[in-house]
Amino acid sequence: MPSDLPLLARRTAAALTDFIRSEEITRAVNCLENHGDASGSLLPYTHEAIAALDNLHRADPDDTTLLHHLAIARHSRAWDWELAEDPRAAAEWEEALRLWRNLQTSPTFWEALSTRLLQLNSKSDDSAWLDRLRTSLLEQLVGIHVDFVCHWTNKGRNDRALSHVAIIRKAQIPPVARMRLIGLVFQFMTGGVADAWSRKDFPGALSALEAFLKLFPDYSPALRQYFEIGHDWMDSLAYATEWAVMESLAIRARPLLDHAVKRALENSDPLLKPAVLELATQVALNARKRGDSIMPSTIDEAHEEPAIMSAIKAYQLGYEFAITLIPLSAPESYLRRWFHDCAVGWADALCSLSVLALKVEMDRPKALQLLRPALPLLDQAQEAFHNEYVKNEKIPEFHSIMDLLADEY
Amino acid sequence: MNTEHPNAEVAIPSIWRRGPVTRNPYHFNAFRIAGVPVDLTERSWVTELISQKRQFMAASPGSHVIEDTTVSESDVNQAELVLSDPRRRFLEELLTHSQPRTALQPLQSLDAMLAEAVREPADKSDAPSPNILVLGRIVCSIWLHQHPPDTAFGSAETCPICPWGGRAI
Repeated sequence: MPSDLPLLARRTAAALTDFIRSEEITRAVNCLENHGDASGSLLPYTHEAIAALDNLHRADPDDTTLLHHLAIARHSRAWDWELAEDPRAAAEWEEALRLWRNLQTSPTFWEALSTRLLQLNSKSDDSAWLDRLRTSLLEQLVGIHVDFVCHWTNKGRNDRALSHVAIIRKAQIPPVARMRLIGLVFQFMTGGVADAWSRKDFPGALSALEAFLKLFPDYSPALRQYFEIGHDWMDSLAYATEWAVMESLAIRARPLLDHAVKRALENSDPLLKPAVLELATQVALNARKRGDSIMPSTIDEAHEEPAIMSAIKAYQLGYEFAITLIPLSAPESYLRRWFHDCAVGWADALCSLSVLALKVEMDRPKALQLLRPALPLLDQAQEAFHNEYVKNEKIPEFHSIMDLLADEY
Repeated sequence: MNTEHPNAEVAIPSIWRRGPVTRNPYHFNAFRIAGVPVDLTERSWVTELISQKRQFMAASPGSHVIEDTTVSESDVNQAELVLSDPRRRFLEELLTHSQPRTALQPLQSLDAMLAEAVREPADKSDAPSPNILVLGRIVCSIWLHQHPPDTAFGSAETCPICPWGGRAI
């Protein structure tokens, strides 16, 4: 026991500081009093209490009692702001999650909880249960945002759903837990896809997957299912009579191609790669057939500009799908060579035709119009394949004509 | 036959995801629904308060309202189930502010330290004067007496009695 004055003074000062601080916390929490409730229960938050607690928290960020009060208050306010569609909700969620995360990592907090659990349940050993609670706490908290994603997408409010997607993506939880949570959104939003697919309601099935992929474009199971259904749909169509449907399907799938190839290369799902390859091959093949079938073979036919433009469009579409397959196929594979040949062949045909039109008709603006989309296509084809095959010897000729026309017009 | 392994891990239910998202669980926690103070742990008192809440709700239907939502009897029944299960009640406490308590322990320790110093013979030149020690104890006793006993009926009942007699702190 100290009998010297300085030590006694220090201890007295420390005791009084602790006492005064706890008094300040009490005053802040008293701002939560629910005057209409006789049981004495406290409100989850008031703005006044949050301001007071925030001040105290800044002075002592490690006080877990304070952290818990603040986590409850700010999380609850974020929830109310969310429901009121208040723009401040997103930032408030983030702050609340930060506070809960601090609690989750605080040994002091969990020691206090362990003591409390023992008070409530002295008959059993709950330490393992408490450990599991601690491990799963953040996943449980982020799980709230899965529910909000489902809630807002149900109401057609993608803008609000996306703010929760961002929280799920940024949350500091293990990747496995994050995938589990995204899987829950997937189940919720695409629950009817298998049924629609079995009924051959391809547009309905793809629409549901597209809505999900707008939120999570990298989710492999959704991408795989999308490409599998797309392939199935494409398989049921004929390019000669149903090209418009094929084209619309390809245009729908196009924005997802890059994500799918990237995920396939990461081997996130072993079935994704074959699914992407199958649909993209089908599109490329059918686009080529379509282009060939409508491409004018004589200069007289070339006067029909819509036919030429349609052919160019089909070739371009096929080309885009073919080119995405490059990273997925082996350097010397048959597929790779085939795509290269197609791409160069299409561009070559277009250039030849436009040069023919130029020479015969002397309709230079029209020739320019025809040549303009064809030449970059040819260049791209050469570049995409890193000139690994024989260069098209006509390219310089096409370029010089293009330059001549560009100077003239 | 139950084939579950006794140590099999059962997922801990999420306290935040037990209802629709349109219902903020912080407002609708079991303590507030049942009208039970969060620090009250004595089972018989919890039961008594819930039964009082039921009587009140039966006498004036629609009178128990939280955030513009009328609390139903089934809500109260559900809350009672939560509060009677130690683990579920524990989880519920995570959603709820505990009643603030002033930290009396530092003052109690200080008071005990001063009491012992008063009894010790002053054998050092820089020892504090007995008058200062007594003054310190008086300040402690005034501050401690400003804080009445906690209203909880649980472990707080074991608060020590002041050495100068009087009331529990």
